[in-house]
Amino acid sequence: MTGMDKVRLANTGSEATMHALRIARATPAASCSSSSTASITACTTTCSTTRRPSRRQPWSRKGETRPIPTSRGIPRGIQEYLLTLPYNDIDAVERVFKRRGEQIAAVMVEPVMGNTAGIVPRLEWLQAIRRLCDAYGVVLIFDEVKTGFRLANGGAQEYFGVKADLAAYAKAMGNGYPVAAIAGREAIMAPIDDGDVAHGGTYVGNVPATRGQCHAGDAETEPIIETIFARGKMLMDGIEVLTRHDVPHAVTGIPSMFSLVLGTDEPPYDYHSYDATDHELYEELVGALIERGVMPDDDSRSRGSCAMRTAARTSPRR
Amino acid sequence: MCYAHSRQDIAETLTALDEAVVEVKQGHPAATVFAVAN
Repeated sequence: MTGMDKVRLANTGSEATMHALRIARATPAASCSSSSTASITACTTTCSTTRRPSRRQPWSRKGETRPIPTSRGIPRGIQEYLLTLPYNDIDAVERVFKRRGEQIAAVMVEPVMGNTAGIVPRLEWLQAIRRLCDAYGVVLIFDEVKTGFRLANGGAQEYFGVKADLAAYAKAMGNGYPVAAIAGREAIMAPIDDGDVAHGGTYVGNVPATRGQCHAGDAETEPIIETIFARGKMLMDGIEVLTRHDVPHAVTGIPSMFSLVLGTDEPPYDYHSYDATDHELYEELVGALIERGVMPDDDSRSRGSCAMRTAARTSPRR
Repeated sequence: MCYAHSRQDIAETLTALDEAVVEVKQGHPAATVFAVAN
């Protein structure tokens, strides 16, 4: 799987990211805390922070901000083990590593920010994180729950050419079946085999989902990645109809995982630039689309990108 | 615009987008709403 040495099955992306953090914290190099950068979409207690940083609470001069729980029921103590950093900001990552590099166990990155219209990472930013993790012995985790098997068979790691130490997969991996996975380098995954790190749970590795996942691609008669890219590109190009109507907009993401933002001509590069787009107009447009049978995510401030699947057909309108 | 519950036909999806934009524009004074944010 995407060139990783070992794979453990799970049921959901939330489980997979949660266990990835646990595994990373158990590595010998890890000390007391874990830093997370960028958006973290999983719904676990350890990850549900800073989904919606306010413009009234900008990133500090140090380049980090205090995590903001996105749900009630998350203990305050969790915040002491997390740092959140702005997406695509190399200086912020470098400053945090310089000041706290010896304390950081892991950096978790969502390689395309799914719930903010598919913000694409700057390649130099991903490369800088990889370089800093290597320099400080920090585990780099890619949250590939949305990008895995969607950007490429090797996920975002293959697409961007940046290798992670651990990765979490779900969604496209199961093709509708409830199956997920944590994959990683041999040395990092080894503590699970030794019993030093616990991983398990009800239905983990269950036969129906696992067999369903294994056969998901068999029924396809087309190359999956190429097909969803071609059809996603058709939709992305089609969004340019907004230009004809003089509606300021930007198309975001990658053909197999894309969206659009309104009220701007530039694709957003972090949460704040995304937050500054016209959400009210977007939701109004989505309402008109829903009336016509097209169902984008109608919560603009926390919306998923348009995830392509091979079932989207290209036949002429009947 | 083509998620699990959407129409499956891409052409229909884009036609719906075209119609939806026209409908939304009709409900707004263009000069005030369809401006680029600073």
